[in-house]
Amino acid sequence: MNQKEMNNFAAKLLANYLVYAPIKKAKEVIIEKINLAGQIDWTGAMPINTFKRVLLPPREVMFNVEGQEYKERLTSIRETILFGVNILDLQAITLLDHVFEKDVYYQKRRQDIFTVGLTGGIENDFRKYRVFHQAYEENVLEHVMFDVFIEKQKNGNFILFSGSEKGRTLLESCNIVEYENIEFAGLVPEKGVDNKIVQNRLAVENSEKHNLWKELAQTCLACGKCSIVCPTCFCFDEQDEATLEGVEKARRWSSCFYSDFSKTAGGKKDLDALAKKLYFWYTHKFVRVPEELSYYGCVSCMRCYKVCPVGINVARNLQALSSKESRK
Amino acid sequence: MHNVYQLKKAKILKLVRENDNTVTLKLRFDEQKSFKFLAGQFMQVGLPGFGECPISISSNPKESSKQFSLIIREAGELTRKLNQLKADDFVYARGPFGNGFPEVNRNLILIAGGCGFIPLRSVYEENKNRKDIKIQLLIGCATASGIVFRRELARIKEKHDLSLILEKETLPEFSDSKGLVTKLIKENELLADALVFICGPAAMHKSVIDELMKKNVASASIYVSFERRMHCGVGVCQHCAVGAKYVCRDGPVFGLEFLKANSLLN
Repeated sequence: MNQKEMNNFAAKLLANYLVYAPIKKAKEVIIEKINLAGQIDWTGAMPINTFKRVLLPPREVMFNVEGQEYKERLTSIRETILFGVNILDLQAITLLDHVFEKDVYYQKRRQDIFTVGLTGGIENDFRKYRVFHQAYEENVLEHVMFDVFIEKQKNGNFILFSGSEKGRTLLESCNIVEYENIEFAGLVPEKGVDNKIVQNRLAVENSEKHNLWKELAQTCLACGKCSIVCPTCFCFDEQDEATLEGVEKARRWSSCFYSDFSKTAGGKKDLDALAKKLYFWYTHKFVRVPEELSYYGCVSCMRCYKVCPVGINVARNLQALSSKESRK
Repeated sequence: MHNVYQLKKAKILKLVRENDNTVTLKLRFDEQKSFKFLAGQFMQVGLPGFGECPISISSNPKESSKQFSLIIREAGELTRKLNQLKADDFVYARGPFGNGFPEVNRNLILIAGGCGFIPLRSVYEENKNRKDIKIQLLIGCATASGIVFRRELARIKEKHDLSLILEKETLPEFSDSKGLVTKLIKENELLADALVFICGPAAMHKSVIDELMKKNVASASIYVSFERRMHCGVGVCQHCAVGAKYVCRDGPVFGLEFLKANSLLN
């Protein structure tokens, strides 16, 4: 398939679906709702934002209080395509799909969301900071979940893969019959859990007394930008909120850097120091997610580093934690 | 798909005022018959407009098909509101969540600090009439007005080995001296070959466990019930995470090894 045919495919999708895709804007690549196929950025550069807010809205109403009951509020969305999702962001979406496997709100929305992946990876500057060493060649598509995947070849042409029934239906509805099927083979490759997941967990687990956390706490502003921009940060608050229509129970994005995140009755906070919050953020990604799913809790997109006002670098910190001399 | 966040209405069958800031609510869901829980598990409890919080179930699990009890101490807006309810009012709850205490297959020592007896009460109620095991209760509170079940504890004392000590005053019916719950561990002969269940403020855990170690209590028989902020109850929202685990789902009851591995005894 050449670029023109690919643009036709994108245009067909735009005619029938809400489409979010990476576009170039003011020198940055940013994911936005698009109107024209020509807007799509095909370079594979890492967008500064993620698809997270489509899958997991920053605020979502779960219940309305009606009379004396909490009435479940499941909202339907228009069928939506997440287009041009790079492999790291597909991994992040695969993680969310597993974490929210039993969540009615997520699953309801997810039914109407299609993922169309695209090869590319990370822009050159960020390559050296990669946390994981993921090569596109290593059967990577068998261990991420996607509906359609587009591989851009060196000659500028594209080949297509389907990764689900939804994907096949989508392709065929656009009269595309030339594609290869890829069967999802589970999160963990046949050869076992990615050694980098194991290594990073060893580096982070039980490192709470490591000097690194105190050092980072001297510069970290606890602004929470890293959580907002992270495709795998999914923690939330659930709260009753008064609106003009009455009481709603809603959930909102949270961040472990926020002051009340761990506050219990009486005001005690388990995370009462910034060093503890930093350690907590890292244990979520490098300990808890691997413990539960043997999967990436961080996909090494490096967005957290890119937005951090004080330049905290997750890859460098993992190196510091794993170097023997620094271990106390 | 089951909605784990769905709060259900439970009617207050009876309300017992325990002290200035604490009530016991005896509750029944519309479909109470199918409700089951384990001692040590908790519910997410809420009121429209006031949000939710985790509250331990404090009644006998064997009576779960008829009713369940929550003991609610005022500590914030929601619990203050819950303290102002009357019989026949409704509260909203979902659950049960968490793992609960391990099976009681030998003698049992219950150690509580402050209102820590609330989750332990469910274990006590479940096992209080057993002839094959002995139960010992060691309870420490700051002041007499802070004791949650003063009358009930006096009744328990008639039946089981119960010691209660206050930090700031003496209480003739229980103790002539003042001190912390650790003093009771020091001064009492502990039941041999016993499971030890602990619940109280985090600051108490280390000193209590140190005293138990001095008395050669086996590490593997010590369990602690934890308090953490929780929103989801099912190990997703991250608020209650400790190391690799979630207090809401993998706890709230953890063995001593978990505390050691996560530096919770420092």
